[in-house]
Amino acid sequence: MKRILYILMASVILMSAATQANAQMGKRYYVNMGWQFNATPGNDFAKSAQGYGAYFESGYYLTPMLAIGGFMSFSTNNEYIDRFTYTFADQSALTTDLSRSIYQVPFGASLRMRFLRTEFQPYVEARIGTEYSTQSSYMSTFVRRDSNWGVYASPEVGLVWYPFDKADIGFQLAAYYSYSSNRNKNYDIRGINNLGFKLGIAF
Amino acid sequence: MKKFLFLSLMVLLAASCQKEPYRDSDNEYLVYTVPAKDVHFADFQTFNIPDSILVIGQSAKPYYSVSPDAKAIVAQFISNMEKLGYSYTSDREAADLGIQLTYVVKTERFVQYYSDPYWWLDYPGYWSPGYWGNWNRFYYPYPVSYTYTTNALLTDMLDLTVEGEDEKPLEIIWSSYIGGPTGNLRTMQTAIDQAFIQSPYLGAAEQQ
Repeated sequence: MKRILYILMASVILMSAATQANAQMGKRYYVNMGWQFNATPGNDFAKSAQGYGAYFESGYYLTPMLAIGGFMSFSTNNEYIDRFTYTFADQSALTTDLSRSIYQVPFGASLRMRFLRTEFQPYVEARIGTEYSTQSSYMSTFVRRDSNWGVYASPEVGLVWYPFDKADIGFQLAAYYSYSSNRNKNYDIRGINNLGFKLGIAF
Repeated sequence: MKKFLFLSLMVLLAASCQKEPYRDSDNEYLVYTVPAKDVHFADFQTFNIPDSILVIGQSAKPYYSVSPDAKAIVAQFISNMEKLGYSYTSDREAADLGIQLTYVVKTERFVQYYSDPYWWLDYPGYWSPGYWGNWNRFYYPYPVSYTYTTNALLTDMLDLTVEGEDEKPLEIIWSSYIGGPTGNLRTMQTAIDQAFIQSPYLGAAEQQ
């Protein structure tokens, strides 16, 4: 009798686990999206840490742990510059305060490796792609804007948490570094470094 | 699930525009100055400036303002020029330099009609080169663009020492642009002082 009881209990536990697994681990794709907080260290044009960004990414698991996918995100970093007199080679001069802004839109392909297929799924990800960026100076009633393209690369570590047994939805927390090769001679920008984190939902 | 995905994507797309910076401002004017190339400003001794400011943009026709603010702005220019060693003369035919001031309230309606990048020179009622002598047109020896200007004071400094001829343009040898979304007389006077501070090549011979 005891033996049958143990078998029944084990069956219930296994079935329960299997039900949970069906919600998040049976599928082969993932979709993540949410809010992005981005910082632009080592940047003389606009150095700031602000949460004016969002991201969207998706992928397909070729094996239980390894997925390929695509991503797209955008972020803006603004910095206010106090009044200063800028002098130029033709002896012209400009005195103004201003706000500088970097807007970045990277997109491309990703390779994700998760380490667990449980409720908590830590992962590492490598991304490569291209980045469209604009650099703007807002002065008085004027805006000067330059745009450029660059090659984008980014490593990322993150965690996806599926807290619900049967609902196909979870949460994502990730941290990243990125570099893009965008250049702007007018502002002496040779590459853009980023550090940031992401908070979002996962399907 | 699909509906939720679609909705989320729409939200993302809707939010995907660039975040414009908050328009922090010290409430002072932007000041831009530019001189003509190879002009020796110490060669000039006297200057003349009309006692009014041309105002364009408030109505279809421009008008010349002699309001207390306009007079204060003119006085600020005279004060700065005299500090640099130039002498004011009311006789414009005897002056080495002429200074004309234009206040542009807004330009949206005018850039629709004037595709010329130097549209303000063609603006009906704009300062006439004939006012200063026997000239029939102005000439900027450097690129200038005032497109979509609002609340801006434009200054032209003219070389009146050149003999006036029908085909010879009256050369503008120094320009300043003072502009901003807000301002008052005090900030305008501060900006006028800044225009001279950031133009250290200006000055009569005894000042250099």
